[in-house]
Amino acid sequence: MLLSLLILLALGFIGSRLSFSKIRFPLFSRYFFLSGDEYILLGLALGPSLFNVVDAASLVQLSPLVSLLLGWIGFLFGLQFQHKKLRYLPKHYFTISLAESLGVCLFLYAVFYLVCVRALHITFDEKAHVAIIALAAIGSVSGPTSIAIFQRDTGSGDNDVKLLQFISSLDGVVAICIFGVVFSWLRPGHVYTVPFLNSLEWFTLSLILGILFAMLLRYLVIRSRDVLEIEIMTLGVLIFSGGLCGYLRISPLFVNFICGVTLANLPILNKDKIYGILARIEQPFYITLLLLAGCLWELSLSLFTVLIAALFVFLRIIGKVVMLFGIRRVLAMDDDYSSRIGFGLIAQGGLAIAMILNVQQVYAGVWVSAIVTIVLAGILVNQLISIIFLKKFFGVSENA
Amino acid sequence: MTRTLSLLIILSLMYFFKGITAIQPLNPIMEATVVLGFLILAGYNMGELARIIKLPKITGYMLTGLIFSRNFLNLITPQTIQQLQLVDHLALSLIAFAAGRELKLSLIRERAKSIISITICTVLFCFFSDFLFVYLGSSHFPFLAGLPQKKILVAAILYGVLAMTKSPVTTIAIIEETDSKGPFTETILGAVLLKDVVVLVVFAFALSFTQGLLLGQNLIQAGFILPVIWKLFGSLAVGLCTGFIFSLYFRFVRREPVFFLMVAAFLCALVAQQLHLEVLLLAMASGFFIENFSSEGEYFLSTLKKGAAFIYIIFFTIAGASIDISAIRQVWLITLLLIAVRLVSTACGVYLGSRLVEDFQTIRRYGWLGFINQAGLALVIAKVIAGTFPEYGNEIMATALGLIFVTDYLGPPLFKFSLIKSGEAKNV
Repeated sequence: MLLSLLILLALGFIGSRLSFSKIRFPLFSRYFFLSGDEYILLGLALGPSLFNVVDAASLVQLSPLVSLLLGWIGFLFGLQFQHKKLRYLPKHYFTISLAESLGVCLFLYAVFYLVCVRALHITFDEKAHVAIIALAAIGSVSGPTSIAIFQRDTGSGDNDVKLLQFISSLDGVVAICIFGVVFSWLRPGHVYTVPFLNSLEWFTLSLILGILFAMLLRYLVIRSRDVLEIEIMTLGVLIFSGGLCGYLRISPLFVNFICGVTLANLPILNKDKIYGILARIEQPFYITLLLLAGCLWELSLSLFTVLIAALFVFLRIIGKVVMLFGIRRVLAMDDDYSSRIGFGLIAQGGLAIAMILNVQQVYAGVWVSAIVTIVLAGILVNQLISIIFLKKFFGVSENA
Repeated sequence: MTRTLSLLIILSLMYFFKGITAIQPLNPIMEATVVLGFLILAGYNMGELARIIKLPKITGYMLTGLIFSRNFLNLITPQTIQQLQLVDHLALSLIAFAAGRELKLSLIRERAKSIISITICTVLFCFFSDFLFVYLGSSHFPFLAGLPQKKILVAAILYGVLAMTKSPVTTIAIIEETDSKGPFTETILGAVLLKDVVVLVVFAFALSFTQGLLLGQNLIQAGFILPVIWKLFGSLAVGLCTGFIFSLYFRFVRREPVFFLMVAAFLCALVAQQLHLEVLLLAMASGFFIENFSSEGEYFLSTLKKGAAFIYIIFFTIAGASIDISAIRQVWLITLLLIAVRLVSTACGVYLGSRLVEDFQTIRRYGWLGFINQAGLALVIAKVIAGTFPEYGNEIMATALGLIFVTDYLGPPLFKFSLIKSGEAKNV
């Protein structure tokens, strides 16, 4: 256990130094390496699926760390939704972003439902339902890293790039909310915490907990000018909520997202300090999350998973490209944004990885391994092919 | 008022959680995570409350653990504490780094005579006073009355060794909290750390001697001595080596000090666990090397100070929750008497030790207040005694718990008081 944790921390630490440094990677691999996705593969190699350096028993012991990391991602994501800052952004950004992610999600859900239930005749029970919703929700999420790197390299800052940056940073909100609902509605069958609560009550409980944690954190730090105190209180609340969500089998991503959003919109002076504290530990935490995702990845390779993974990647691309093209048309913004703007949203980031970890944390069974394999393989492939799409979108030549 | 309200809110959240676990207790790992979060939040607020009434923060932290443990509100079970051992080890390694950081070679050289003299005198005084107290008053000890002289002698020796122990962790925590610097602080810390090493050696010899005495074998047995020697010198040697490796990092990389220290602390705990070494000594030697032999060490180890409060909250709340005071009830009178004897002998030892080297007045007068706490090593020794001498081992263990419990709450405020009196405490 101690050795496993040490390995993960050390690699997370070294990784954060390398991945985000100024090391020049070969052109094609540059974007892949800079996004840090190679750490998923490294985690896979270290985990029980391959070399078993970090064994299954240690991974069970490390589950509080997973909860903490998920809570941290949700909280950090939620803190971005500060009304005071967001209100200065054009309204259509929100419309496009929400419509796009919701549209892609519905599209993926519909197609996967048709393929799995109608064509492949898979029994449409709770497991299948959770699996299809998870695929659809995770598929709707985009990652901002590749766009940021491309934008930095090309120096482009036009309308398209600004919109892409916005969408890729915030389109996870739909998926996170879906997770909040799913984890309340389709409770895992193998455990029953507080069995007398119904779905609506579970959802309300998740919401209340998020708001309560925000109020608590606000109350604890409102008068504080001491960074250390804010640091201790923030981490204390995140650990507490992470543990509580893990125990209750509700989504720490959702609960802490609500906590982040609530805190971001409460009158409090220390918001930026809290954001700064969380952002400071972002890189090593992120790499640790990737490594853990890799370690927890139980490779479930079959023709079915490979085909569904390929379908996941393909449908996602179609969904993103077509949806943005359509929304642009509907809003009559053909002149404002490029028709190929959907090409910029192929890559997926930490949020998608966190979401699949969340599914794995709450549900158990062979089907979970299959879904994890589909999503993680899909994320890696999306990362690789996103470079081609981004190049097309930015119009970058091969020798750029 | 804010602190009290914060505590009440956190407490109600914890009661909500306990309500759920009562319905269906499962997943002890997640339960431990919730408890850790709770201890951090409640501990910090209790520490601040303690500061308001001029007590050391660590007293507040320990009280948090005590109040919410099985002893009073029963919000933290022993099983949960067991789950938090890993975090506890990490905190201990980081505290030991801080201890090493405090040991500046130049100051030690300057104060060496005083440190050695005080250590020897307190060790001798503590050992012989408790030894004589137990040996001569054995008829008043219910679990010793009527036993053969040989067994009473053994018990007296073991009590003597227990009396010698002192918790360096508490000393370091109070020094950090009050931001104390100067000859008084340096002498107390140096003596406390040296005493820890001496106690380890004496305990090994005492164990060997007493076993030999009871079984009629050789009084000096390699089986008891060698592991301790390995523990002692191995820890120091490995600690210096890891310190050297860490200093290379500081020299060539110089980035992410907080995260690096976490990795380093885990590494120390892992190496100590694998090689059967003492993590406190190992990490302390490491910190000592970095402080004294690495030009970049100061910057990186100063980051420890920034995170110190976090580490202390975790360590001392867990320490507070670990003690089961129900075991002490049966031996409370003996415990109180032993504490009184130990306090007097410590005061005499420090007075004589500093007098012999003609140290300054403040040490003679207030120095003994820095030697009151007993934890960590005392508990380890008591556990070994309980395992080795089943006839009265459990009673000795209960007494040790009593000593630790009382001195844990008595020691920090008194040491803080002595630092203030010495004029070396900057943050009162």
